[in-house]
Amino acid sequence: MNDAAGATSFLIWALAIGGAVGMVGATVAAARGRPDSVEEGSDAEAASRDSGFAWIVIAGLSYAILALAAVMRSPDSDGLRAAVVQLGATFLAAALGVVSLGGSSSDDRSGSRLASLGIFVAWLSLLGLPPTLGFHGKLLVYQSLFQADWGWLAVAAMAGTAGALVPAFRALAAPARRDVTKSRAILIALLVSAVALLGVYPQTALSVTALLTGSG
Amino acid sequence: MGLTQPDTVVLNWLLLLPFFAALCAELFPRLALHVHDEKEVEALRRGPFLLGALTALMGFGIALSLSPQALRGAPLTVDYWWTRDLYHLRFQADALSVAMCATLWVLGLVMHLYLAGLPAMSDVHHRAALLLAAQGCVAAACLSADLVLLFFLLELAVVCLWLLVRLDHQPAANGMLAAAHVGGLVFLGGVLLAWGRAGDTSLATLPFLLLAAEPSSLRPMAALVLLGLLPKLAAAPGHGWLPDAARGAPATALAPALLLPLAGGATLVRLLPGAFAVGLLPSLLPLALALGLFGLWAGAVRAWLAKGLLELAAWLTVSQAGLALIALGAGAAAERSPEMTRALVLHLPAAAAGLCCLWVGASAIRARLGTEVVHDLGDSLKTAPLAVIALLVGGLSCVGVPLLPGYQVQRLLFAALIGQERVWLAVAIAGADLLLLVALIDALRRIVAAGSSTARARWQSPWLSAGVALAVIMAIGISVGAPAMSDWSEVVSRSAISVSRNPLSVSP
Repeated sequence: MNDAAGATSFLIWALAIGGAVGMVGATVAAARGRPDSVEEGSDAEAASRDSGFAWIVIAGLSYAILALAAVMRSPDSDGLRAAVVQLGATFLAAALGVVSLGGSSSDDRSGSRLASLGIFVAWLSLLGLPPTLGFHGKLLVYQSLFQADWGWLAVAAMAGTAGALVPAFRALAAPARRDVTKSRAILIALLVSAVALLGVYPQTALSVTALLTGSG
Repeated sequence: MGLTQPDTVVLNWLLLLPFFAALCAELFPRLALHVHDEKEVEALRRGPFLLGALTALMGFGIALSLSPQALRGAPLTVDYWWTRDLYHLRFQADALSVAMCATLWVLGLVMHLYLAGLPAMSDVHHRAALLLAAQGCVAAACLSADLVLLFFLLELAVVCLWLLVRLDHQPAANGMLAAAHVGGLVFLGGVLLAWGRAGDTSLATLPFLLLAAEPSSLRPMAALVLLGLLPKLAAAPGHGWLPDAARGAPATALAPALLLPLAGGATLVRLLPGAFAVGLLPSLLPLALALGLFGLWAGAVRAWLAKGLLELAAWLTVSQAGLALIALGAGAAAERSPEMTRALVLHLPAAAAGLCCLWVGASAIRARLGTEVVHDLGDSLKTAPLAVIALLVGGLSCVGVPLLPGYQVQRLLFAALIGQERVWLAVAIAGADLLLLVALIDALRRIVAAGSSTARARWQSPWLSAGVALAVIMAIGISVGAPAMSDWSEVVSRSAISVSRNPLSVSP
């Protein structure tokens, strides 16, 4: 019995520390500036910005791990719901980012404008800013950490969110022009609508979460 | 409450109007490009801003139509189903929120007229839409009766203003977003603590639920809320973004400079003396007082050293935020000093009116003469007389000169401080006022001095003049309506400042 409790406690702390390390490490990796050797406006610089986005997606997944640790520590907390909403928000934002960043460089203004909108909304969701689903995901993660009496971890998570502003500002400062095909444009429009609508009306996401977790 | 009830429809319109208008401002000019030729499109250039001005006018009318009910102490509530079991879209129109909305719409009208009058500007429709969306978020935040919704709307307003300022100067916009978002996260920490302690986020029930909690457990949440609101109030030490915005994006800086402090101030009044019953937390008050004094003096000294009119306006805004914090700290410390609470409430519209005159006057001078550096602006009284008058009215109101809106605030503040035998604090405020007055007179003396101008006057749009004139009329209107404003501040402070009746005066 003691061994089982010890193993559970170990797992909880492993998840919490793993999530925190993943969050901090990914945010720091994303916040690192572009190497001096890389020229501004070059393909290498664009790749550096894209890798910042990828790191913040990993940080987003780490927030879900923190929520799972919170629900294991305090089963009454909203951790499971937080983890599912945060995972959903991160996957949606990642999909939007991948679709928007995926095109080849272009001077086509209408295509680049849609791609820029997609990248912008994806970043907004990853930063947990309204009106996106990411806002509700982050909010639920913080709430579940507070419910699990992990105030310090919630503070660390909030600091990680603030740190993610650095790569976001860099990525949004000079959005690369991307060529967007018709099918890609439809996909971007659908994903942007999904991220924003679920952000403005979060009940749909919460109902799906309740179905998935069996808590409804 | 049924949706067919006329007042509820009115409240719905108040909430949705700006977002409708933002959509129209964004879409219609794009459609017009396909229908009209270039010359006609140029003639329609100011259309989006005039649509914004019309919306602001309608919003003002709607807010006024709600005021009789709100002043009777019978606030109108609307509770939408947003999330079934987490938090709700709760709105409540009471004396504070309705007056804040009315103030906001007049500020909106001034801002739209000012922007309509600026020389050629790219993305006009986009700017009008973003400004309208920010106005809508601030209006909804003033009407909000739920902690999470309040946080959502304040952050959304910051995002809209970030996008607006970003059109002119990215670093200044990023600085504003970073400061406001970090402050927002600190504020969220307080909200989550309150949520955990009370189990609910409704401002109507929160005071009663918190009443059972130990004051020591309330202290961190109130401190986090106070510290988190500093950047939005532009109060020291969270004020750095405002002078940067004034320097980097002078044409659009007035939008965040007017909207964010109003939203932050309304939230401060709503939460700290109201929902969180700051009177129960004496240990928090020295912090508010110290931050307020620091901000007041830092603002006054930097305003004295300012070389540009917008910089002067930015530092005067910082000093006014400091004054609000002093009223909060000194008022609640004195075991419910009614004058101090009324001074804090009255400070919101009075400071908004004074600062609106100051910002729009300085911005209009910059638009007319192409510079805002005081040394280059000699003889401005001849070229931009209305803007100079706006500067004078706004500046003098901020330092509490009689017959202007700020005077009523300072009168109540000094009366309460002398009543509390805190003469040293009254002297400190009077000293800062004196320094601000010297800074203002020095700046005005230079810009009206004959023959020292190096700036060449440009054509001035009548819309710009209309915006400046409206700001002056607003300030004078508040001064003329001082008795009504005083009654209103009494209603707000008596009904415990909020949707949440104060647990100090009303037991559950």
